[in-house]
This record gives sequence, structure tokens and C-alpha cells, in this order.
Amino acid sequence: MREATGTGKSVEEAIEAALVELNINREDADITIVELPSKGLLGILPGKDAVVHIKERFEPALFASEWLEHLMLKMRNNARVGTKFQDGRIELSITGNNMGVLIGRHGQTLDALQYITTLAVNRKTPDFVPVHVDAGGYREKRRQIIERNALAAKQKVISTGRHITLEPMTPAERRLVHMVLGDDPEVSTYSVGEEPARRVVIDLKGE
Amino acid sequence: MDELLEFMAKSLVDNPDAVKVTKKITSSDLTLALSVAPEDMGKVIGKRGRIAKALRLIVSAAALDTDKRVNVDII
Repeated sequence: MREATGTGKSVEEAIEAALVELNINREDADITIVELPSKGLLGILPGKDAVVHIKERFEPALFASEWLEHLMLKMRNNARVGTKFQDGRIELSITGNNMGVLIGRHGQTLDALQYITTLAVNRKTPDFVPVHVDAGGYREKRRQIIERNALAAKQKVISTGRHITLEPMTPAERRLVHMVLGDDPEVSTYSVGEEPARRVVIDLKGE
Repeated sequence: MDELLEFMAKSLVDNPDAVKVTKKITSSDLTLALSVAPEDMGKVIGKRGRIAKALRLIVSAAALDTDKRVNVDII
């Protein structure tokens, strides 16, 4: 968070000086008056300048969506970015024609976009804000598929009595499977293998 | 492509003014050389190269509609 102190013959001048130093507009600043100006006494005692302290106001959600929109421009992708601030996290959702390029194989480009956006936003925030990025509804679709597959695999494990190893998934997707089947009385889940081919195993609960 | 990489790098480092991207074009490849202030190296590479890998993925995605392969070197 950038801050500056400004001085001037009046409070107005002091604010102006501080704004110029940070090169920001007045509506983007929180202003604290440190000292009011005083005229000297009959030119014998020297007067005192006004002193103000300003802090740059920073809105992470706004910054995040503008940053990602700018990135889309640089990628020459004609996309729109929607923003929601919910449950303490920023949710950015990209829509447009060319979403496959942004999603990539197994969503790895989308994960890269989310990671770099998170770093760019949080470089400026005092407290960490999680940032989620979706494109063309990909994450919601994946969530539904993974939940459905996990429940189908569970039924198969119960009916055959044999464990099932699911396809390789990203950490976030594996977490979803663990959560969906976490409280299940009949099966348990664990992961095997190394990234990026780490897989969830669904097995009957041991005695 | 170079502007894309430069924009991302400048958003990650403490010294944006020291970020420089130079490009070298051959018939099959476009090579982008990214240089940052020495103390910012970790900010564009990351633990186990995680940031560098993400930057490469995004640049490659943006280059899909060109006929060139894109390499990103961090120097």
C-alpha cells in the first residue's frame, strides 16, 4: 500500500502535493489531516504549514478484473471478464468465443492464469485474497463431472468390493473428490502417484 | 507476445522498470528473453519454477494461432 505525506500553506495544497507524489486521484486516496496550518504572529513567529497523510485506496476485486481484462487484450483474446467478490474471495469469470485456448489441456492454462492473477493482485494487498478464475463455465462443468464420476465409482466399489483408481486430476479436483466422499460410511479415499499424474483411489472402508 | 510477457512480469516484480523482454525470431521459433533485476529473479521463477511454468503456458496459449513455437528464457 503506497502512502505519502504532503505539506502546504493550506490543507488543500497539502493534499494536492501528496496526491501528486503518488500520482493518483483524490477519490483513490484516504486522507488524514496531521496538522492544520497556522499563520505566524505578526510576522514575528513563523507560521506552520498544513500537513496531511494520504494512503492509496486499493480495491482488490476491481484491480483483479481490470488486470485480467488487460491480460486478455495482450493475449489478443476478445473476451469479457465478470467479477464477483464473495466469501472473501475474488471470482473472475471470462466469457467469449475463444475459451478453449484459455482453458488448455486439463485446464492447465486456466490454472496458470489463476495463479499469475493471484500473485499480481496479492502483490498489492496487505492481506492475502484468494482469486478464482473461470473461463466459459469450465470449472463448474468439471465440478459436475467429477462429482458424478466419484459417486458412480463409489457404487461400483460397493457392488464389486474392489477399489477403483480414478483418472489423474489436479490438486483442487482431487480435493473435491475427497470432500464429496469424505463423510461416506462405506468407502474411503486416498491419493497415489506423483504430480501431475496423481490419482484418487476409492476403496471400501476397512474394518 | 513480448508485450504480454512484459506485462505479466512487471505485475510480479518489485522493480518493474528493470523488466526487459527481447525477442529473437527464426522461421520456426519465437524466443523471448526475459530479464529482471537480480533480486526479482525468484518472483518470475518461483518455487520449483512454478511461476516460470505458468508464464510459459500463458504465452504459449496466446501464440497458438501463430505458426511459431514460443520459447521463454529467463536470463
